[in-house]
Amino acid sequence: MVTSQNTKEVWEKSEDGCYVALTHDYLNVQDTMDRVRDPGAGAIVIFAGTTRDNFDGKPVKELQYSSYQPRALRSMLAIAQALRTKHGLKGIAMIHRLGTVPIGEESILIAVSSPHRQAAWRAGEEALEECKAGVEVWKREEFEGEEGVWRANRDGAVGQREEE
Amino acid sequence: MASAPKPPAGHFNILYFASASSFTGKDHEALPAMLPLRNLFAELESRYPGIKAKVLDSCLVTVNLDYVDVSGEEGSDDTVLQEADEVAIIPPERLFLCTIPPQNGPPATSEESPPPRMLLVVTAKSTDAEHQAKD
Repeated sequence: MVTSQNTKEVWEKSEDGCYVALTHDYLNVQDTMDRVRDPGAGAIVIFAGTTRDNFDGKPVKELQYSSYQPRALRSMLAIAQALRTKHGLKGIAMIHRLGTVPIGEESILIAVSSPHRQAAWRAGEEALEECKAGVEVWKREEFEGEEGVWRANRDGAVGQREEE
Repeated sequence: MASAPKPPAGHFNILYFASASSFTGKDHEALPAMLPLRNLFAELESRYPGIKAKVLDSCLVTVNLDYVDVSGEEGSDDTVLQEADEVAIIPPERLFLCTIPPQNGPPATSEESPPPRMLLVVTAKSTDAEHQAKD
């Protein structure tokens, strides 16, 4: 499902050092990093999730992401706020791309800043895992020469296919 | 789903995502209002035979962005869906669903399109508790 005709549209929410967004545009690493920049930070960790050209060895042509935007933003903000508190972060930004994402491009960026690097490393990883498990974004993989497959937006086991 | 058009008077909107969208062939529609939430799945089953077992039983539901209990068991939500409410069918994490998409494009969204052929459903469910914990 393509969620919007307007390719410049961005859905975003921010609060107290937390920024979350969904967009159909190309993701900009520098912009995302700058959102968490803070004079009290000794580290910024940034994670970029990119679209892989295969799933379980099968060639993937492209990926499409769809979302329930207002609901997904609420979930993303809740994750960001919880991690900011838990790890004492200075800032956290999470932005997910929607629509068609060509192979090799970023589908998600996560940036976190903290006074010391250990907390930033940990928070960055947790943020990604929580996002994949609990945000209302769905991924569809288009395989070369095959039907597409909807997946929850996380890596995981291959679904068994049973034709009716 | 960026935003569905405002539903006609006396109706609420229901949004379908991922597997629910594939099954119904729609990403949203308007249904007549004042429908008890506990009757929602039965109403959808009457419109889309087979949807309950194949899709809905593993889905979560939101009403105006809040997750609600549609288990149908005693003590479940006695909400009545009102005019202009926004209901959404949320396929769970860890649920994979396969469809055959229309030729040369994204999944069908127009009401005229026949629903794509459904294939299967699978696997491990995440619990509501796990999901709500993220809320």
